[in-house]
Amino acid sequence: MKREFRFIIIGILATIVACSPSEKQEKERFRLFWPNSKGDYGFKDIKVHGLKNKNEVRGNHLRVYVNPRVEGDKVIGDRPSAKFVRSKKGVNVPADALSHQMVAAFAHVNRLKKLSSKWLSKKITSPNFILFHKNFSGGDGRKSRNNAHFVSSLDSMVLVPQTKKSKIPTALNAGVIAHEFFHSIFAETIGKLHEEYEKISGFIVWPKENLDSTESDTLVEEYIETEIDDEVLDQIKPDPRDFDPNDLEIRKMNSLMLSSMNEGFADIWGWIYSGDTNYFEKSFPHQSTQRQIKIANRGLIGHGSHLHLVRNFQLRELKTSWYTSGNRYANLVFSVADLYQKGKLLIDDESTKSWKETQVFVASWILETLKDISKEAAIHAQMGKMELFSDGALLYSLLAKLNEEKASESLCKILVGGETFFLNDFPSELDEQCSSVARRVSRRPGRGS
Amino acid sequence: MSFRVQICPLFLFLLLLLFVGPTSAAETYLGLGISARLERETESRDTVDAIVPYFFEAGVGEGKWRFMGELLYYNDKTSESFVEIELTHYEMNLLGKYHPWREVSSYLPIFGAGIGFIQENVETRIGGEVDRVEGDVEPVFIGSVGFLSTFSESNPIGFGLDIRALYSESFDPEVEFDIGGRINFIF
Ligand SMILES: [Zn+2]
Repeated sequence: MKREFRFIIIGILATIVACSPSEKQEKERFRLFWPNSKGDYGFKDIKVHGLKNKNEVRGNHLRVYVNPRVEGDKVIGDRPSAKFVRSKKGVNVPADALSHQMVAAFAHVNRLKKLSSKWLSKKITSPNFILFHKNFSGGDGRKSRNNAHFVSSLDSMVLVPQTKKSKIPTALNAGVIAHEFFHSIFAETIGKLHEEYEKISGFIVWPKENLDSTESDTLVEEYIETEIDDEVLDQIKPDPRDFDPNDLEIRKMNSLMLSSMNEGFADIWGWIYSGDTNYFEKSFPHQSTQRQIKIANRGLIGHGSHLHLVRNFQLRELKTSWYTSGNRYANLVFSVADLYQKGKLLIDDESTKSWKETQVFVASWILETLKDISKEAAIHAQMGKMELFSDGALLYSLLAKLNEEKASESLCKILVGGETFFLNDFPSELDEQCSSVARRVSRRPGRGS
Repeated sequence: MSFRVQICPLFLFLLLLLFVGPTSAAETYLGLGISARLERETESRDTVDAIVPYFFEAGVGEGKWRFMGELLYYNDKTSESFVEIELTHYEMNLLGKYHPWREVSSYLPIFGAGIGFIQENVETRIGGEVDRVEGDVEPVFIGSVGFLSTFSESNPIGFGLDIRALYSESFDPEVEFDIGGRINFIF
């Protein structure tokens, strides 16, 4: 009897020794629903860099919060507690639905920071927060669903619940995350200009709320409803250049143009990050028609087309026009990038480019465009007067990238085959280079060289 | 996991052999139980959530000592924005318990310690695709304090309550608590 119990005790002790934990394994790989280079999703073991604490989903410049409070410009929330099961191969498998989404969004944003820094030769650290929020609204009391947001004042990407079934949940959609991510690059480049402009000239470039919550419906709606009514619209003169420099309309036009660029370029960022031109449709099939970036060149923004948009769209839908007019920018950048990749951009250059080269080409082009607009605005500010920004900046920065080489006929067709730009601001060099391509609309001379 | 875990099942087998065929003086019993295991909520580390495992146990008792093996199971399904994950948890525990004041009253505390093995599987469903991953076997160390009503051949049904602390490197934090109730039958 006693002897048997001794055996049992010895048995338990031996088992404890045999089964006690051994050395810790590397735990940096995660099983995630992740896209391949073509944008097809499947379960893969993904190395997640920059994760200092996997359970808190926390890195040096990136934290995740679930339903945090917001006080002023501060995000206040509890640290999350993500759960994982370690597979036999030592991979961390998220053990609940929220953990999977938190880690995937973290992994995408961290990758975007790394890649964007490389593409732009400039350290990108924003955004610092990813918020999963079920009560987020633009302020109208309606809770946002089936969407993603970027709130620059909070330095936060906000992911809200999905209620409509789609192929890929928003938090796992590489392109959608990259779209929101771009807004932080935009806010950093253009947001600084905004402050400077305000400081120097006392002018308001566009309502601050518009920038701070780029996709906040209510703020935009209020702005539109109070500041652009039908009467004002009727008074809008046909040529934006004839505006009184102090006219409120200039602010509105600038705001509209910048917001359109912000959305259009963000859609492009989604593409260069994911390698997928259809990423939008995978999460938002119900509103994807206006967001196609890969469509046959349909011409650039027509003369005064923003005004048409303002007139033609229901006021409430004006925000939609950011995406619609922004989509023209996206189409242009995509078509040019496509030529670049195929080696058809220049007359004398026929070498195809790698995807990496294409990403750098597109990203740096966009950044140069934003910088160009910033510079232009700084000059306005110094002169103490306000003028319309020119989206011709997109062409000037492209011209600079051509390095004095001649544009190919295909490029000319894209640039001048359609209608003219918003401001008729077309680089005269391009005009000369593309003289053989028929133009549909006569235009004023641009800024020159 | 290293060599030690490779030989772990062998020792488990030997240990189980020791439980088989106890002598006439020992009581052999079976038990069923349910418990509440406290875990931090995924949304916030500062709030706790209870998972409810079910378990089956078999043991022998001799005087102030009890030795038991337990099989424990739970299943946790979560769904958020069309990401669906089902976690299945299996746990096998071996515990020794000591009841220092058994003669005084069965309602005085009984202390226990043991080791267990956790194996968890995850099934993830996203966008019409399914992924099933088997987790590695993770050891867990257990300390417990509880109450156990005396039961014998003349009084063949007993009840118990256990508060346990579980330690495993796979937990976050590494210690978790569990409160379990059980009903035991002597046979
Ligand atoms: Zn956007």
